[in-house]
Amino acid sequence: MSGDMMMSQEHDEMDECVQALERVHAFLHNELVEADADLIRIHLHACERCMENFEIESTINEMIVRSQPKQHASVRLAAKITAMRTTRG
Amino acid sequence: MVVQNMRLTQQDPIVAKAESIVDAALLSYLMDDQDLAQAPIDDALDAAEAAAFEDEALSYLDKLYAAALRMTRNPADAEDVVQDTYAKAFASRHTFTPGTNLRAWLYRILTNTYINAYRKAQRAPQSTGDESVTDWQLAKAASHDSAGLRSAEMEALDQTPDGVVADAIAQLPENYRTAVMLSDVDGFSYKEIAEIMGTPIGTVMSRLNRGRAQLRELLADYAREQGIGRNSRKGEDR
Repeated sequence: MSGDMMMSQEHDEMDECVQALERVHAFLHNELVEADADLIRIHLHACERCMENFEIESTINEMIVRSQPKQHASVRLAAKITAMRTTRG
Repeated sequence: MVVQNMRLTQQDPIVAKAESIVDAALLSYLMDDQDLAQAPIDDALDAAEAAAFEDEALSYLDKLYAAALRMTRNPADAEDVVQDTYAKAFASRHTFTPGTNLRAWLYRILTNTYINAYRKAQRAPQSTGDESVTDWQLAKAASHDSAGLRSAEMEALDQTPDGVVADAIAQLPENYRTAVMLSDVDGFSYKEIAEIMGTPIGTVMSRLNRGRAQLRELLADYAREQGIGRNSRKGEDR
């Protein structure tokens, strides 16, 4: 294998990683069509670095949810809005 | 309907007969509808629909209040935004398409209400974020050059308190923060977020990617300051 070919192969692998990382959020949010998601899964099996990156982003997803405590509208606000109804359900 | 009906007539007389009975019934129903005697029934139907609409809208009150609180950052303003949102929603019920996502529709009104009434009132123009982050920062957050330190980053994340995450989110430019919250906290699809924020879906994805890259950087900054996660990236050129 010539040096040039090795270069291009490395380049392809980098492309796969770049593409996987560009799609990490779309993948974790289930926004990819199955065929594209499968391509990511195949890449993650082969690439430990990307797998670790996906795990970190997935952990941050969970941390974001945990960091936002549930809020309750006050009884006063709920009463005001109920009074604005056109119907009384 | 008519074309289909004719084709069926040629193919199967029984189906054709059934179709013609259905058509006759439909025609008689449509003619009845013009009848004035039907009007009270229509009013009753409309009232029932309105009640169901308002019931469902009210079931999202806590979520809308939480979203408003994230936008305004104070309870009094959040309550005003939510109240205005419901006033608009109840008044424009007929513009809502039944069967589509009411929660997303309400979030869109909420977002517009906030942008129009409250953000305008703030003196200093707030950065929306879309212009402030360059691609190299995004690339940096996703870069492979510190692969050996990834487990250190994970370790640091495990030790990061919820309050620090909330503070980091609050520091994100508004459009990034909104996209991240709508996606991760409220669980909207990218298409729904695009509708709520009134932007193309590509813009949503870009805001999410950039917002998340900035958030990851902010959390890494915290870890460095605290010296957690083995402090491996200390001294790294930033």
